[in-house]
Amino acid sequence: MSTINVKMVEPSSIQVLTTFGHLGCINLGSCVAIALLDPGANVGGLAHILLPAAFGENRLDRVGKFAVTAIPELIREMMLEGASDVGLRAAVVGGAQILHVGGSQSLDLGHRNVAAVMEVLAEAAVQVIGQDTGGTPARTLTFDVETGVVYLKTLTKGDQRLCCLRD
Amino acid sequence: MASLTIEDIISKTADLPTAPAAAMAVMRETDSATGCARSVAKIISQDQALAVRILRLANSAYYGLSRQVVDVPEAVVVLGMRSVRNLSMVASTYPWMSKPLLGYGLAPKDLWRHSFGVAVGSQLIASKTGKVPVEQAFTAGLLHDLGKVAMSVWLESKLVAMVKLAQQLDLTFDDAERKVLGYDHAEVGGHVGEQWNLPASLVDVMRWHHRPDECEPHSYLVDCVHVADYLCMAMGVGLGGDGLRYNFSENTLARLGLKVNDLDALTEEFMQSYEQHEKLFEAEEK
Repeated sequence: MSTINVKMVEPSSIQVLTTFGHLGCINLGSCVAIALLDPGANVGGLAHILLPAAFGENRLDRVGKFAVTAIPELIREMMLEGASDVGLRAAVVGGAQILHVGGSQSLDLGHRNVAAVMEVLAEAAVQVIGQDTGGTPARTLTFDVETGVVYLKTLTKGDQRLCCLRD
Repeated sequence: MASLTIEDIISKTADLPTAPAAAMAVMRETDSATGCARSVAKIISQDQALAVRILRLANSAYYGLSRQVVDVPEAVVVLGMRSVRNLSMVASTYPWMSKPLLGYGLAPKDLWRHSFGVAVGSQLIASKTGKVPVEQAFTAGLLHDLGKVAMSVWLESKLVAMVKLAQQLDLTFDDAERKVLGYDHAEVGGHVGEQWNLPASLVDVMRWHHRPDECEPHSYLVDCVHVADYLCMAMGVGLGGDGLRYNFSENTLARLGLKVNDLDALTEEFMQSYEQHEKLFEAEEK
């Protein structure tokens, strides 16, 4: 994996690739990475969200920042490259959270991010093939768009194959 | 390993950074009642390496000046003493903070990203709450994990086992450090800070940033850094192998006059501020 050229998807960003190439996110904390693939069209994409949704009077400056806006935008950008919004497959990685004995919901950001992502994916009828979320570890994800394989790296488990979005 | 004392760690660690003397002199001068642009410029000019880095940062895209700053006195006047103070600390710490720390699973520049992120976050919280001077918060955030630099080499072969132990026993990572070693990176950082003759307020930050409620008397500066450290960990800014395996004290928010429900908004504001300040980081990387 170390010699592969991986296009890193920064926080609040979305990237789409056609046919081949690698997308990745390094050291995810409470943020969540959503890898999507249309296996038929060979179009894949990755979103790196920070928060579940915009709130209060806050203006929406970047659609890639929030789960509720990033995933529809990722699907839209994939469709512009020839994907269909039917039969999309997903892997969801990240959503760690601080060890906290108080149980305050506002500190439960990782959990809330994952819940929001799963809800939006369900509404869009996207099938979730692989998921590694929660706990406290930093996670690094690499998505091979050509093969559909999603790789995951953590300190204690090392490099592993999370799933294949073509299976 | 278990027999190593904190003093051993500090005395036997090769490449332990020395105190950034010129940057600390700039810090003291900007804090003093008699400090002025001329006196600050004189200190910087006496350290040629620092002077060069200050000029390079002053001419970076971050400041977007329309003409080139060619000497240090001009840089101090144009940028202001507060910025020059922060720039001096950034320029002095980047060379050793950008090295990898394998004992904490930190790749090259990860410690720098995290420390710079906590500096920016602490500055933001200080600015919003008015509890501490923003420039002090920036410096405190930048230096808070100094103890990891001293500890890393001794943990290189032990990190995975330490994290697994913490998982099995449901400990925070600093708890695991204390269980295995008898002390944690924060305690070691406090000792290094004392050796550097840093102000007691900064030493408190190094020592108590993971256990802010145990700092007596309570310190708003420690509280700012604790919250900023959480923001960086949650957003994955320079996250290491210890991940998010730390506790968060909600008491810090109460002391700072912040509400738990404001954390999402604060997180978003922090990321906006961090992305803006990254331009400064990019200039330093070149």
